[in-house]
Amino acid sequence: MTSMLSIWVGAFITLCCFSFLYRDNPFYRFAEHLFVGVSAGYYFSVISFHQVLKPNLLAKIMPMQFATGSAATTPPEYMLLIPGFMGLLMLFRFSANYSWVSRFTVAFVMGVSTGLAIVYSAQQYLIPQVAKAIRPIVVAGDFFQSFSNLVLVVGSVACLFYFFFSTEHRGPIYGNISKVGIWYLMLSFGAAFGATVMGRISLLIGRFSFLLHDWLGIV
Amino acid sequence: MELFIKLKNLDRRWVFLCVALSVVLPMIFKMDFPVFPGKNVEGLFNFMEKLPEGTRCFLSFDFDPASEPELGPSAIAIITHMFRKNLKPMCGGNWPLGGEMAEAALSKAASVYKSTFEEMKAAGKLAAGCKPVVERGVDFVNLGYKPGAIIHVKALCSDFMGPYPQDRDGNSTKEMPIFMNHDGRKFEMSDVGIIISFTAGTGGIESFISVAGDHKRPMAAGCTSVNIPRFVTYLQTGQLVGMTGGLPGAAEYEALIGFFGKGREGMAPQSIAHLIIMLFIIIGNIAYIAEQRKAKKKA
Repeated sequence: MTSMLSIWVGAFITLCCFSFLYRDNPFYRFAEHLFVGVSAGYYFSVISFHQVLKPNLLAKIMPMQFATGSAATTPPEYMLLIPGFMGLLMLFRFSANYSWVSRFTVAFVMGVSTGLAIVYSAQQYLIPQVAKAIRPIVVAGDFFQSFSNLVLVVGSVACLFYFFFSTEHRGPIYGNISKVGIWYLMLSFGAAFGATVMGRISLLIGRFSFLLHDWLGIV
Repeated sequence: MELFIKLKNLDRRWVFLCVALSVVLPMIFKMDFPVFPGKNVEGLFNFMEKLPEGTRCFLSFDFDPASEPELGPSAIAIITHMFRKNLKPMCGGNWPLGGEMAEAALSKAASVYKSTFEEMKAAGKLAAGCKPVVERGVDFVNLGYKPGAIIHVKALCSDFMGPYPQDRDGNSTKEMPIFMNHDGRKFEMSDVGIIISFTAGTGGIESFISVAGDHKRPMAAGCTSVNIPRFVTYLQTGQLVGMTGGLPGAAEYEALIGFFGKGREGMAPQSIAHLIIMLFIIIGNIAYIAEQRKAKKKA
């Protein structure tokens, strides 16, 4: 019965959303507002409390009360009161006069994230990508690989030329290489557009599959 | 040419209707298009085939229901394959609803595994240690969502059990057989055979790639179609052993494990819808050129 009800509610909400394709209407707006409300409630209660706060903070500070199994007998980790306190500071955002207090926590999170991102971006993105872009243009006995490497090397260089804006994109060398860069970018936009269309159609298939299979049972 | 110019001003709702029909009709008539696995999907499949029985694999569900039609089928196919090879999926998530997405995929994969157990056993496609029913906490675990993305992954590298004292349902992970090592060592990231992230956007596989220098584990991705051009770069650098891209990637993996799921079911509507959209793009371009010529003639 519960499963049947959830399918019918799901089908109704799906049709409400599809109705926007005809024109904006109260059914679509109802579905939109319902989604926002349910997401906020679900995120706060089920996700934030039960999957994050309870196991990672409360169960470690007060294991007897919140932990399960052998973890209930472990000694409390009072060190975690510090991040817990910093988390509480975020609630000051609700106060117009004291919202500045929450900035300490935001600054800490930003500092850690930025520090990690800078180091890891260089180590895992920039260096491996540059290293793999350095390739032999001629691979003996493998025409396809040679052509593939040539396309990659020319594309990398031409696109880098295009994104150098300190000089005007003119002249026989600089202007033409920039033009090649534009062509590569256009091709990549085409690929991205194609992939996006594919993705959106897949989502549509998913919804129609739900309506025709789970709801109506005709396929 | 006048016809094309008229079509340019066609009400967009007719376009929506055509696209909807191109998806619905192949589904109603149960059209089945052939699927040919590509080297990216085969790379992941072959890697999984070579993993020793009992290997624990970390699957990160970094998406929400909005991307489920694209990533769910991939996850189901990969987990089903894992069960058949007696590999043990340990699911987590960098996205808030990752735990719920993992639960849905695990439940579906377990039912597919159970319903095809005898058939696969007769065909000799099951690993020696496979049981007819997979057990939570022994053969798989759903650890749920943890916030932090890169910071969460970094925490997993220093102490895997630290962020996961409990699974998604609140059961203590310390007692679970899936986390126990034969030599009594504490479970660490180095015990993970492969990390697979089903990624819909930020905070997915790129979080794992970022700290790859710390965990040194092989990685693969299941990604939405939109992300394919972005993640292909990690395949060419060898940072990913394989990738399933969008619904077609899922269909390819399903073909490799001999399962007709949502991926393969969606290939006929997908192909026909693409043809319809290509047709509209061509018509739109012809109409544009025709209109330009007409304007020039008038001038």
